[in-house]
Amino acid sequence: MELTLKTVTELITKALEVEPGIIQESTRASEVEEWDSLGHISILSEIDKIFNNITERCPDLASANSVKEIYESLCDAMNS
Amino acid sequence: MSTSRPFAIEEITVALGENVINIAQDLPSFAPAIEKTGIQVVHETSGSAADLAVKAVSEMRTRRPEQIDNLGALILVSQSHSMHLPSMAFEVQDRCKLPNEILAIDLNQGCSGFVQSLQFAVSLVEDFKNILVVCADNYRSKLDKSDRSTNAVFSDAATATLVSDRNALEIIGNCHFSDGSGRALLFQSISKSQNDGFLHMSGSDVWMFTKRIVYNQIMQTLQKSNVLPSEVGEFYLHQASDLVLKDLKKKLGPDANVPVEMKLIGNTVSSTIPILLEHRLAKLSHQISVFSGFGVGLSASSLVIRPTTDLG
Repeated sequence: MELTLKTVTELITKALEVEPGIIQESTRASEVEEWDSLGHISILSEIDKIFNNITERCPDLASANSVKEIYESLCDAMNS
Repeated sequence: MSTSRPFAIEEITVALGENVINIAQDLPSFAPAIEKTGIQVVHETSGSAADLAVKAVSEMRTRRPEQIDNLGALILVSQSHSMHLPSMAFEVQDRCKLPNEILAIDLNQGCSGFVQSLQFAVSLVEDFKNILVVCADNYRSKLDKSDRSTNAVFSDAATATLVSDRNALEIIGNCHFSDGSGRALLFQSISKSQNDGFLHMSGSDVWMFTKRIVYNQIMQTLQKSNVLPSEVGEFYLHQASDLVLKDLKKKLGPDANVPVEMKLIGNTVSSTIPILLEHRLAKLSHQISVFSGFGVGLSASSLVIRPTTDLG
């Protein structure tokens, strides 16, 4: 899967099991009820499935609080 | 291969919190978490962790009266103290009428606690003969009721594990990891100055710690023991949640036997591994086993245990 803001948005939508459209590129965790601590683990787990366990070399993802922050952390990990 | 004293795990007793909470029915707003955690039911006590410990130890006395009367030491693992002092071990010693001529100490530890206390017990057992390792926590009393990630996971429970000097098992490898820089990721402050005194768990950070450390630690422990993963009969892992175990099971491979018992029990902190072992003790005599506990601290501890008699 290509890494874009759009694909990260779709990945988060799937992980949190929310309706399409709830997660936008500008969405922050605090704006979505399902995006709590447990929800965030689901997001990380989905990221690992798609991007081959990338979270193991990207500890910043644990504290990423928005779609943009997740996208930027993933970009950094892929470019390093 | 490390030299270790022979020991036996003679018996394990379990006391779960008396109030059974069916998450889908009793906490419906948390029901969507079930698919992620693998936990349908949690247990809560209206009493104390010491009350649960007393229940587990009292049952042990019923089953093993002679060994309890000849007890050498009580190691009590808990992070649910209602008193700063004395330690909880003394309350349990008194209420269960355990012998006075014993060593009674607390180990302030959570999910790594059983593995760590077993390591201690085995190092003491040659001198103390019969040692009770009691794990007891009522984490549910620490929880913010609105916090899904903790309320849908933790259960109150106690277990009592009787360790003797009988020549049955030996620890052939051990590894431990302690990282206090992660102490703010899973904590409860004594005062209400932090998080209003509720337990705080940064689930994703703890999850990532588990991913980063635990599998590698298990492999390192096996390597130290000259044991291949394929030679392990069962991997007894701390039952944190499905989200954690799923990743570990995947890494260990499809042929690895990883018992899971959390659906109707929940995460009982340091009691999860003894609960897994309760009805599987006979298996320890016939195969190499791995015990791995991990969590608050942050910490992780793993042991490789094998029978002292030939496997054949």
